[in-house]
Amino acid sequence: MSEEAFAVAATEAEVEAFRAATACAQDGDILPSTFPMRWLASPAVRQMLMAAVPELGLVPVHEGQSFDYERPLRVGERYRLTLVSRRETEPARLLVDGRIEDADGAVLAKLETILRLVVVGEPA
Amino acid sequence: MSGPFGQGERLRQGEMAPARRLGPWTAADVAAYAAASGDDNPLHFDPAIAAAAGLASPPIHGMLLMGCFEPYLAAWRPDARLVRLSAKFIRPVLAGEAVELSAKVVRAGDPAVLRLKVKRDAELVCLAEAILRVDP
Repeated sequence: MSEEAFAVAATEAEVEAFRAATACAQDGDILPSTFPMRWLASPAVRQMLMAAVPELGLVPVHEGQSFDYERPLRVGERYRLTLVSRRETEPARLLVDGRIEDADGAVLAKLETILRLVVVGEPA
Repeated sequence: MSGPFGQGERLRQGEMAPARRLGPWTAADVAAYAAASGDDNPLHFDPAIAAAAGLASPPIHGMLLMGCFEPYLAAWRPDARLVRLSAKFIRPVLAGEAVELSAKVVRAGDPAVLRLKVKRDAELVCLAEAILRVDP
């Protein structure tokens, strides 16, 4: 199990592109509920998650996802995203729990990601 | 607000949002989502990797599908606020395939709980739950 925290924020352009890609007609400064997935794909987070899956020949397949919101997240606001990852075996999975806090430490949202790890190549 | 509901009216047990057809998603749609989300998992682009994972062709991102749920619910009840959204991706949806999304209130009140189903023909490919609050 590993835990790490990251500073995250969303620009207007990022949110606009995300809305366009999900046919989301909403506007305003509130982030789409699934937008935090973009933060999970950032290089720093990816490095943390890849460290949890060092084997070659595995690809993640999304099995489940949840978001719980205490308050909406907004464009331009800076947040602290804390992620805890852990592995499961049989079947192989990577589970990622996250919480998103504001500058005062208030938890605004939580997320859970379940990735099934599928063998697509020969292990090294 | 359009639709039969008054502003701030609570969601009622058994109410259903009109079903909506989603997709078919093209390779360009998948690429646009990958760019917007940063999720460039090769499973979604490389037919050989998709085949090695047992799929006939690359699937769309599950999160591309899930990303459609909030706009769907907001179009139905723009006065409702999403406080929880969860999904289980049961079967992959391949690029080029279309699905149907539906939602039903399974627990009335405030917040209300909705069950969302995504079906490809009769096959359930994604089961989701949304919790909505309706501000008076």
